[in-house]
Amino acid sequence: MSTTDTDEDVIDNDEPVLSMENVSVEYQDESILADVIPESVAERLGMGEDPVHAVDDVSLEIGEEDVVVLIGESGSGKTTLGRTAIGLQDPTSGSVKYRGYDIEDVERGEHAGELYAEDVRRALQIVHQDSDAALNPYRTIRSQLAEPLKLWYPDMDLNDRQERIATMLRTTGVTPAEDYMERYPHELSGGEKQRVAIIRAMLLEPDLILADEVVSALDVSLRIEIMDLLLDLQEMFGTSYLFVSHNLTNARYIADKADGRIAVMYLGRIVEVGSAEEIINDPKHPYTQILKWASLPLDPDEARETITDESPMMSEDAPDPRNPPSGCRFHPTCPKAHEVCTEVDPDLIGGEVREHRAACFREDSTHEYWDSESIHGGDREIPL
Amino acid sequence: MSESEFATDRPQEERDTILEVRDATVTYEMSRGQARVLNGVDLDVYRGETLGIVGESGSGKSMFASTLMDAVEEPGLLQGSITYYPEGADPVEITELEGGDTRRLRWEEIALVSQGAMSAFNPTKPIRTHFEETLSAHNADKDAGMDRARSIMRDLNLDPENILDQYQHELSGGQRQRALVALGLVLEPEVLILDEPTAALDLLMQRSILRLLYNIKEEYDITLIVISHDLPVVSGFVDRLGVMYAFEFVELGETRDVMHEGAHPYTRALMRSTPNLAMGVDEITTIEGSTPDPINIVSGCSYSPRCPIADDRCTIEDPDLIEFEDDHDVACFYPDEARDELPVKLSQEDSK
Repeated sequence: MSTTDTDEDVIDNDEPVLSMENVSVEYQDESILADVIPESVAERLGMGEDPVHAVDDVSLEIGEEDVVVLIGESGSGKTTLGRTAIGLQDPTSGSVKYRGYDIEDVERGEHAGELYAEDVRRALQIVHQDSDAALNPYRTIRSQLAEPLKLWYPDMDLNDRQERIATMLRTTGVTPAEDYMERYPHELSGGEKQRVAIIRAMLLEPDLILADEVVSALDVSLRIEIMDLLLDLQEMFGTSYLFVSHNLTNARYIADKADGRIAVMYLGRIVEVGSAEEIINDPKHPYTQILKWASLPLDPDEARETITDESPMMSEDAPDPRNPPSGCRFHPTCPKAHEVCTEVDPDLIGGEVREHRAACFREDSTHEYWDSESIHGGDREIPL
Repeated sequence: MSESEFATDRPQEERDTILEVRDATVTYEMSRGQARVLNGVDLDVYRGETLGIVGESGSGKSMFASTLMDAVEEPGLLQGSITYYPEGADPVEITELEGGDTRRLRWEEIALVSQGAMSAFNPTKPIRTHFEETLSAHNADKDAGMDRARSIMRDLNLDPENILDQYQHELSGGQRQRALVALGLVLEPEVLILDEPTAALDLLMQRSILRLLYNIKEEYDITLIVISHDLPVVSGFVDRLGVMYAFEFVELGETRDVMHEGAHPYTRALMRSTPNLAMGVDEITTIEGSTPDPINIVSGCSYSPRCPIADDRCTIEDPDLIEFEDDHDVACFYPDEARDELPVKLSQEDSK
C-alpha cells in the first residue's frame, strides 16, 4: 500500500485522537410545526414538550489504537454519543476535539491551513449495524469500494485504486478477491456484507471508526469473526474504535482482546467506565451489575437455575428521557437506592480519568449515602 | 441440581409423540439448480416437552418450523410426512390437509410466533382487533376468548386494558413480542413454536421475556418448540436440544447431554464460537470455513469441509443421525474423538 501517499496522518501531535468534554446533546421538536397542528395530535406525537436529553454532560477520551465500547440499552444515548463523537451530530454544549482541534471550529474554517473539515470527515468513519442499508443493491462490490477512494483521493489512478481494493480484500480474507469484486450485495452472506462495509470504511485509513452495533444483526457464531477482523485491521492500520453495543458479552470480547475500555451508559450518562476485566469481574455500579446478571450463561445448569430469578430491578418501566428522574437517574430502578440518591446526582468517582470509575455514592465509603435511608425499605441484593 | 430435575419430567416409556416428522425434504427450483433447504429430516416431538432448535442462519431451522405446519412458501416443495397425534383422536397427516382444515390446524392446534415481531401486527388496527379477528376466523366464542386473552396477557406481565387499545407502533419491542405470544396462545393450541423469541430485544428485556416464557410453559399445558441462533437463549429452558447444520439435524438429545457431552464437532464448535463471560477471550474461537450451499451439498458429511477431525471416510460417506448413547443422537463417525480433541468450557469451574 505504498503506492500512494494517503496513509500520512494529517496532524501528528500528542493530543488524543478524540476527546469529548462535557458533551450534552438535546433534541427539541420544531415548535413551528406544533403550532399549526391540533393540540390533540401534537400531544399524541409528543411534540412541543420538553427537550430529550439524549446525552448529558459526558466526557470521554479515545487514544491512538484504542478501543472504547459504549454499552447500554435502547434510549441510553450510546448511538447519539457515538454520532456526536464523529461529527455527525452537533453537541448542544461541550466540545468534541479531533487531535486537539474542536470539530465545530474546524468546520467553520477556523483552522484553515492546518486542518480542514474534509480531513476530519475522512479521519472519522462509521460502520452501521445494517449492511443492507449501507450497501447499494444495484452496484458491484468493486464500484462501491472504489467510490470513497474516488471521492477522497481524486488523483489516484485506476490501477492504484484497483490494487488498493484487491489488497484490502485479500488481507481481510475475502478471497478470491477478483471474484468478490464483481458480485452484488445480494450474492453475499450477512457476514460477508458486513466485511465489505468495514473494508469500505477502512480503505480511507481513518483514525477512528464508529462501529455501531456492527455484529448485533449477525448470527452469534459470526460475531467473533467480525470482531476479530476489526482487531486484525487495528493491528495493520492502527485504527481506534468506538464500538457501540447492547450486549455485554460482545463488549467484553472486543474490549478485552484490544486492551480497551468499556463505558456503561444509562439515560444519557456514563455510569461506569473501566477495563473489560474490571467491568465484568468487578462491576461497581448497580446498573452494570444488573447488566451482568441479565447476560445469559452458556452453562445450561446455571441457565436453568437462574431463569426463574426475579429481576433485581425495582421498576421495569423505562424512564422518560424528557423528564429524567431527579438525583441519580437510576434511582427509581436501583435496588440499592437511598434517599440521597433521589436528590443528588453522583459524578464518576474512584480514580483518575483512565482508571475504573463509577457514578455511585457507594464508591465513597464516607459519603452521607451510608447514613441515608433506603427508599425501598432496605437494600436488595443483585445476584451475580 | 440433580440430573432428573433437568431432564424431561416423565420417564422415557411414557413419552408420547405429538408430532412425527419422517424424511421431510424441502426443495426449491432455482436458476442455478435445485436448492435443498431441508434434507431428509426425521424427528419426534414429544407431548408436553420443550424442544430447542439451534443452528446458524440458513441451516434450515425456520424452514423446519414451517414444515411442521405445512406452511412452506411457494414455490418450495415439501416431501415426506408430518403426522400430528391429537390426544384421544385419530392421527392427522398434515401434508394431506386442504384449505379450511390446514387453517384450523395452523392456529388451533399448532401456532407459530415468528421472528420480526415488527411486521406481524397490522399497523392500521389496534391490538384488540387482531385478537377478535383471530377468534372469529376460527368460530371461537368471542367473550370467552377475549377473557382468555386478557388472562394470558396478565401472565405475560402486560396490562390488557392498556395494550389492547394501542397500535403496534405505540408498544415497545418487548410488549409487542409478548402480545404476539399471547395471540399465539389465544386459541389454546397444543403446540406453540417460537422462532427467535428475543431477537432485537435489549438485554434486560430478553432476560425478562425468557422468564415469562418459562413460566408460561409451566402454567399452560403445551408443547413448546423454541428456535434460535443464540444457544444461551434456549439452553436455560428447553428439555431437549436439536442442533441443525446444513439443512438437517446433526445432534439431538437432552439439553444437558448435548451441551456437557456434545458429540458432534459442529455442536462443540458452535459452543466455542458463542461469545460468553465464562470462557477466556482466547478460548472463544470462530468456526473456520464457509456456510454450506443448499444447491451444491457436498458429498459425505456436510460438515466435513470445516471439521478439524474429518478424514477420508467423512468426505465419502454421509453419517446418519443415530442413537449413540441413551436418548442422545449424533450424526458423526467419530463422537469420542470429537469430545477428546475439541474441548469446550461452559462455566468458569468447568475444565472440560
